[in-house]
Amino acid sequence: MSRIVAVARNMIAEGIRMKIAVIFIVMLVVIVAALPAIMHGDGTLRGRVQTFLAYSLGATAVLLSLLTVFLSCASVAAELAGRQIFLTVSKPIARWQYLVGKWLGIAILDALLLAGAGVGIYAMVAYLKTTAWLNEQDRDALRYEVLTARASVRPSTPDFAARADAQMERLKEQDRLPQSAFAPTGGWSQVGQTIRQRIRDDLSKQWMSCPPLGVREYRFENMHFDPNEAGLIHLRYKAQVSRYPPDDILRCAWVIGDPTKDGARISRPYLSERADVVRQYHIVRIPADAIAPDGTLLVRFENVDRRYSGDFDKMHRTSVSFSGQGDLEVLYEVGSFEANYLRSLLMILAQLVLLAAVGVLASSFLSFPVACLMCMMVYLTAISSGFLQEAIRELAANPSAFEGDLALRLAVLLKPATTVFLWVVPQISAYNPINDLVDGRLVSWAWLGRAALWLGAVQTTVAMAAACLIFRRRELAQVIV
Amino acid sequence: MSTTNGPVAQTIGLTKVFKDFWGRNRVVALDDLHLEVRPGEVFGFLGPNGSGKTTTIKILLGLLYPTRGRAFVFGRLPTDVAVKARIGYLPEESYLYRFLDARETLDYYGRLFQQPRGERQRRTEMLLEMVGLSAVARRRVGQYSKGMARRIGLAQALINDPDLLLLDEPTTGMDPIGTRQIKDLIRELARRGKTIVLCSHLLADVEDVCDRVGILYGGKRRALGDIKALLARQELTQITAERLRPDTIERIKELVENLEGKEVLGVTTPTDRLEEFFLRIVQEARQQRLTTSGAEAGGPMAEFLRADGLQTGQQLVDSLVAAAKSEPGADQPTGTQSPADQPPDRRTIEQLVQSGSQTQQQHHDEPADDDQAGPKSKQVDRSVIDSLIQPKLQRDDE
Repeated sequence: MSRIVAVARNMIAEGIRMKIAVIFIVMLVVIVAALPAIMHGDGTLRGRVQTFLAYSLGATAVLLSLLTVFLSCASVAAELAGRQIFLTVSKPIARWQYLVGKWLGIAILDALLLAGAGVGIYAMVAYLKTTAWLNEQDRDALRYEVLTARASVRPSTPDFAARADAQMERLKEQDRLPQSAFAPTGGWSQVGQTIRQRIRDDLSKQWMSCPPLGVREYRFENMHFDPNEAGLIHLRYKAQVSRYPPDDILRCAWVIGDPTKDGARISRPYLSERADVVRQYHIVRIPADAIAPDGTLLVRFENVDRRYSGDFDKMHRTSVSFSGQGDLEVLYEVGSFEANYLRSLLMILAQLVLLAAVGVLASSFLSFPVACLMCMMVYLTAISSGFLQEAIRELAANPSAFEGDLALRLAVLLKPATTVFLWVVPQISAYNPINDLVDGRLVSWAWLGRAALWLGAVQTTVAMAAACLIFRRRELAQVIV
Repeated sequence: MSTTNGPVAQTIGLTKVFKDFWGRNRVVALDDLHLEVRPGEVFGFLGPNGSGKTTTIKILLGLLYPTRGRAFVFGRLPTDVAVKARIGYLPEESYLYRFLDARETLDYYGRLFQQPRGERQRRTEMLLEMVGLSAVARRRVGQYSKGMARRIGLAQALINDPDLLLLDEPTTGMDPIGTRQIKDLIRELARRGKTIVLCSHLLADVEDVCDRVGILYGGKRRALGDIKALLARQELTQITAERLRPDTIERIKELVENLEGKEVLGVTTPTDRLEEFFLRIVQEARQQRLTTSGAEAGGPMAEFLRADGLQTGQQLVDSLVAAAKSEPGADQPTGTQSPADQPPDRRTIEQLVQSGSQTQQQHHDEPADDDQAGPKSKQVDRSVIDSLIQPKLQRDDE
């Protein structure tokens, strides 16, 4: 262990004394200090803080990732080129200890720099918090929607898959399905599957929309909330309309809470009459006691303009839909911003630790520039792996849609290779906490745990094990003539 | 110190072929090399550039793997990590971390040997003192001259007090003082039973210190054997005496002719070797306290590298000539010197001890120059001691 630590210490000294680390620190200081001055977001304090948090943390993650790539690729490759490694490995240190030492050094350096940047960014947020806000609403928005950690719950839905199956059976009995929907071996063919999926999507969309002048009830379940604690919950929604209302202002109402429930803490539901710009996110803030003791919250959407009580002829008629991803959810505070922030930083660290291992792996068999190139490719793929996988799924599900396009046909041909590559490349994009943190959403311990397990432990170990295997067999003084 | 009775380093049919980019065999660096380095010997490894010396050393260190054949160090494979605890290696160039200073460099390598902190620090300071880098220990190694880098390279090779020391061109870039110090060091370590493999193009250096030599050419062994046996000229006899009058020389010639019927081939006055001359000039400059921003002359050999207990004879002489080892005018108060340290005694001992002519001749020429002769001791006195203790090495100094 002490040998690993010796190599790690040496690596840290190198990182600190090489100008590259200094440049990183200077750039970071400039970003943290200058961003609030340049960026104002939407003019609100909440917007400023959100913009600052998103950009400064994003910049930190990117800069540290680049630093990690350069340092880890240089770690072994540069020592091979400069032959310092001849001296080190002629001492009683195993090859794997040398590599692990290098990795550990970079990881510690990353942790130190990330901690420094984290403190700087937090201090700046604390400072911004004290600067002038537009109005009470703005200040509250910052407090309750940004500098917090909120869990999110989506409305419970029926089992649309079962309903789709039932409907398919009905259509089959009524002989309304084309012959091509049936597979020769029984069950549904590709066409049949597509029809089934369409039915399922339609059912889901229907559930998430409300007809003109209609009412729709949604139930949110499994909300863990301390009944003794006063607090606010947020109903967040974005309404799509079939017919645009005058001035794009949708007039509707939310009735929240169920006083008839056993042990209900409210005598009557909360009512919020709304005049919202359509297709934008809005938030209804209500006291947390609307949640029933069994952790359910009943929310009723009324697609009516309450100004004309009952006079339906005067009302604008449109159907309203919340069918997009995250168009209707309830958010409630479950933790502090500070803890959330810390977890986010740790999650970024998990990414960096993995990246360091990938860099060490690359430099265990490649020269510095090639190793850098490979690492950058892996990094870029990893941060966009979510998007790429989506694209590949799309391509797989519907290959006929891309016919005629040469590039896409090539992509179809290369699909197996791409799939394997994406499978091998770590999915860093699945563990990006910044958006959620900036939105005041909980970066949960479970999520962090998964990041630590998959990125920090499993994938890092795999990369390091591969590096050690390659490096053990390598002739360090090899010359190619 | 070696725990094995077999060879310290051994190669059996060692062959190394370097390939080109396409995997085709291109260069045969070593070709069926059989070699044994015995415990406690100083083995000279000679050969022109590209003859395979460094390749052999790199295989012995596990930096290269043999194409065919085998290599063993202390009876184990070179890839065995534990074996490396007993090896010291000075590569042909000092591959050091440019961002570390000298002290940090030694500390780093000490850590790799898992030396406890106190021991590490003690050895580091001693080695820095020994290689004359104490004054510049805080400077980054990247700023060092080649010779200074060489010195720190030597220090790192000794940090573990190795049983086997592999020195690849140890004296390149070194000034003559450093060169001389390395030779003294090699002798001292050999005396302690350490095994040393010395690769060098400087044949005089090899001749000075090695017990056995192997000569490589084109990856093959061309010669191997005891250096004295290889170099001895059995048909000649040399007589060395204090300066003689011309008529005495004539009588000796007559005597030789009468008794043996042989001719005296030549009578000459031995000259200082350039090395000795250079060392003397530098010592004089140092005595005049001229400053230098480079490496200083090396200090005494690090204590942990010296033979203790074994060398009672040497300790006796050391104590007798201690005055010569300390620089005149140093902060040492003169009152602390014991009567035995006084210059006249030292000279007496030297006269008794000296078998070579040079040093003695110097004293005859400059009898009153005690203070001048003093500082020379660091390098020269070592050979004085050598000749006292190990008469077999005497001729190496001549």
